[in-house]
Amino acid sequence: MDRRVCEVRENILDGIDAAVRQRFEAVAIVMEGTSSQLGSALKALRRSTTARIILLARMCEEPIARRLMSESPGAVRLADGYVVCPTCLASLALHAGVQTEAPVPPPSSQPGSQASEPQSQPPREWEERLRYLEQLATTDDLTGLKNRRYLWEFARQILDRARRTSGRVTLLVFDIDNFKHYNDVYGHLTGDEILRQVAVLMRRCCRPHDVVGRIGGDEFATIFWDDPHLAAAERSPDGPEMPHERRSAAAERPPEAISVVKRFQQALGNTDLHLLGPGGEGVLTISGGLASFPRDGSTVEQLFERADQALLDAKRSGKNRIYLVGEPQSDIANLE
Amino acid sequence: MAAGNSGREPFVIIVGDPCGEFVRATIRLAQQYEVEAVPCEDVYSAVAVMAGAGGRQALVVGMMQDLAKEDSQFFRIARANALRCCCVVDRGLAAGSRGVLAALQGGAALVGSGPEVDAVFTDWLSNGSGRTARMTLRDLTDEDLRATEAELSALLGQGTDV
Repeated sequence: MDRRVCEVRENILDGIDAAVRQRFEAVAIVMEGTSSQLGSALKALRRSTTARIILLARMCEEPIARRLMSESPGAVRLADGYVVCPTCLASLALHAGVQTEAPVPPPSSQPGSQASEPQSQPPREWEERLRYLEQLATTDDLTGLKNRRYLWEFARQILDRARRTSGRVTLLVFDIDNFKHYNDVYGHLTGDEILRQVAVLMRRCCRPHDVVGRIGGDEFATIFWDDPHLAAAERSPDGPEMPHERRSAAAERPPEAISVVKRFQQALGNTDLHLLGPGGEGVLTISGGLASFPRDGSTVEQLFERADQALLDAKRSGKNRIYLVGEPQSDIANLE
Repeated sequence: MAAGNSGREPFVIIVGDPCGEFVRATIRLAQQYEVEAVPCEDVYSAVAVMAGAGGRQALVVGMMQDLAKEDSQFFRIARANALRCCCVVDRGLAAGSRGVLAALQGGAALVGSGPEVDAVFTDWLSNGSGRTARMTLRDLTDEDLRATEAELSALLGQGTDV
C-alpha cells in the first residue's frame, strides 16, 4: 500500500478540500502567501474537521499566529499551535524526519484514485521535533532570548514588510556598562547570571511582539515594530492625522521604543543584584543606540551599523545613556 | 460540516453574506423547488461543504466577488468535484477579468442578476442534478392518473373496478 506520511497542497482551498476528505490527524498551514482571510479559512477548517490545526509562521507572523491560537470567551480557537519556521518548510520537515510529497494533482486528473492512508508518524512527535530544531536554530542558550541569527533574519523579514506597509521598525542595540569588570572581579558564573537577569528584565519590559535577543557577549538587541493587527484595533477612525509637513524630527522619534527603553533602565536601576555584594542595588546600567527604519537606514546592515555607532558614542560620552541615531548627544532620558 | 441529512438528494450551496438579500432570495428559491439549501459565508466553508458532501450533486450559487476569492481556485475545485456553479456577475465587471475567465473554464453558468438564477436552477434540476423531475397534476396523462389510482387502491387493499 502507498503510505503517505504527509501531503502538500499548493493553496488553502485545496488544503481544506483534502483535509475534509481524508480526515488527517493534523493540518499544517504555511501562513506566508495565505490571504488576509486566513481567519475565515481556519474557521471553515475547524468546523469541518477534527484535525489539529498547526500554523507554520514566518518570524514576523508569530504575533498573528499567537493571536489565532489564543482562546477568547465565546470565540472559536482557530489554531492549536504554531511553529516559527526560520528556514523553508521543506528543509525543516526533511530535517525533522518528515517525508513530504509533491503537490497532489486535483482529483479530476486522477480518475478513480483513492485517498491514501495519511501519516505513519504521529504528528505530535514530529511537531515536537520541529520545535526542538526551531529552538536550536533560533535561541541563545544562556539567556533563552533569541540569538543573533534569529534577530538578523527577523529584521530582514520585518523590514521587507515595513517597506510594503509603510510601517516603522526601531532597533535598539545595547550593552551592559562595565560588564568586563564584573566578569573579572566576580567570575564568569556571576557574569552569566547578570546576563540572564538583564534578559529577563528586558523581556518583561517589552511588548509581547517586540523581539529581544542577545547578539553576543554582553551585547543585546531589541527590535520594536508595528503590529498591524494591534494598530488597526487601536487606531481611532476619527483620529486626527498630523499633516506631513508639520511632522518634526521629534514626531518621527519612536515613542513606543523610547518608553520601553526608559522603563527598562528604570527597572534595572531598581534591581538588587545580590551577586554583586551589599551594594548591588542600582549599580547595573546600560548604554545603547536606537535606529529607526526608514529614518536612519533602509537595510538590516545599515540599522545595526548606525545603532552600534550610537552605542559607541554613548559609551564615549560617559555611559548609562541611550542615544538616538541622527540626534547627537540626545540621551533619551532627557526627552519628554 | 456535512450538508444536511437528505441522503443522496441534490442540494444547493449558497455562498455569501448569510444576512444578505442575495442569499435569502436564493434560499427561498431553493425552498420553492424543495431542494435543501446550505448557506456558506465564504468559499472556504463552501469547499468544506463540497468535500463533505460525499458525492451528492450540488449547485453552487454565489456572486462573482465571493466565488473568485483565492485566485478563483474555487471554480477549478467545483469542476473537479463535478459540481455545477452559477455565478452572478456584476455588470461593471470586465468580461475578460480573471474571475470571469476562471469561471468559464470551470464550466460555471454566468448570470447578470439574482433573479436570473432561477433559469439555471431549473435547468440544473432537470438536467444536471440527477434528481427525477417533479411533476404537477397537469403534467400527468390520463393513463398515469389511472395507474396512480390503481396503485392507491392496491395500497389501501381495495379492489378496482377498472
